[in-house]
Amino acid sequence: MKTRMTLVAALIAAPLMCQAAPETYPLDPTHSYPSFQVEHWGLSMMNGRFDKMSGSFTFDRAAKTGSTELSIDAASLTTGDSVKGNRPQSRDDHLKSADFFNVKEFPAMTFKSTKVNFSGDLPSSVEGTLTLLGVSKPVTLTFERFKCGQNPFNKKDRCGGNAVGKIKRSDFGMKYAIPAVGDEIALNIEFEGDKQ
Amino acid sequence: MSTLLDDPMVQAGLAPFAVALLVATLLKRWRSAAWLALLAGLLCTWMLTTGISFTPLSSSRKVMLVVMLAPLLGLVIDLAGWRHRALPIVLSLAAGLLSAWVFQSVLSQAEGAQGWLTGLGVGLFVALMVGLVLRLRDDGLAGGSATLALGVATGVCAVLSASIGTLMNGLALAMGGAALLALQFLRGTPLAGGYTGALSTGVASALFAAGTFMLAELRWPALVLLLAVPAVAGLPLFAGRAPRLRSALLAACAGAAALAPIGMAWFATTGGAAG
Repeated sequence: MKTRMTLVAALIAAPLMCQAAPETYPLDPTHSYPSFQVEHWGLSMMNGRFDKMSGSFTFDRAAKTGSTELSIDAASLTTGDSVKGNRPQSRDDHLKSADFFNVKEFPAMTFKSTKVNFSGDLPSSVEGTLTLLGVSKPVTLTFERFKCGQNPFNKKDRCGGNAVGKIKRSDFGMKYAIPAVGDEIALNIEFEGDKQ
Repeated sequence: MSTLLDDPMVQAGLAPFAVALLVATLLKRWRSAAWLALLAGLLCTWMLTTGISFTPLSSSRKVMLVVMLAPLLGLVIDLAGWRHRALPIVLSLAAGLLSAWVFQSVLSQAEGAQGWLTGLGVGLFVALMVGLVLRLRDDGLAGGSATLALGVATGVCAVLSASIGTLMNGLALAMGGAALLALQFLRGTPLAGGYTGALSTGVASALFAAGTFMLAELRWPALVLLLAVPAVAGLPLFAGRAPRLRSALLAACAGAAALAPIGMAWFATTGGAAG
């Protein structure tokens, strides 16, 4: 009788134990991009993005814990103006120079989480440290969406969403052309990954 | 007022010129100390644009730091009256070696021997530039002309190579040179830069140009051609002319020499030169 009860309890607990395991999702490089938006001359909001980002995110639905580490290739920056033609420089060349992202000296930007907050069983925001131009500052990214489902091709569990946040570039020492090019930068990180 | 100070023409043109002219006028009785005007002009531009900060100590900030310390070293040398024949060579070599420290974080990321070769080339360029400008230390008109032309040349080469920040640095240096030339023109007597002036111009123009090469898109040929500016300004030209006429002629010659690196940078930008 005692053995039977133990077996029943183990069967009931099994799915819960599975759920409690941390799930790790390496980023799918073709569906994971950080983009940014900045005011130009007080007029429009200009968009740019980085084409290469690597990293992964891990979360434990039951324990409501998680973590993420992202590395962004600064030289993969594009704003849709990369061909200079007969001009002295393209906008992308200028943004990659020491006036802005200084990609030759600081080829990578990183984000490392310190805490993941949950709403229900999915993350709602992540607090962490953004390192840009050699300066590390705390940044909070809020998940506008965080959804999980199944990859229709390989049938693996897959999660993804959008994380948004704001930084002041002057906090990281990127002070060139403020206020003509705005100080406040809106971040939007789109990400997806199959469960490892 | 704030809008006025946000105007790049004020930040890198009018303001550094006015500040440099004021400082040069106030310090002219102490001879080469008047050339601290070049540093004052640069400080003015930095204060109005990016501010002055040294953490983290990136290459750009190391450039700023060295450019600030060089004229102070020159002033000490001038005040102490050191005149050893080997001093210009020692200072040139020291500047070349220092450039390796300035750009160490970029050089260390290069693969294989590329970092060493680039560091060697940049160090040689910086040493030659400082050496050539140091030859002008006893000729205020040649020094002022070289400063004006080098500032314009490094600035225009920078904007052609995707660095507007260095354009503003170059123009600020040029405005300082223009202020010192104007002061000499108005006084009708030359004001030698000594080590204070020569180290200000030599170190600043060399590191601004090297920074554009290391951190932006300036090509080797344009970098090398920048050396033509102090070389031409150092030629024994117009020796017997009146100071006012000589200052105008020297500025014209140095300006003509500045067209060579600018032309090369333009040629490279428009796709004609190999990178």
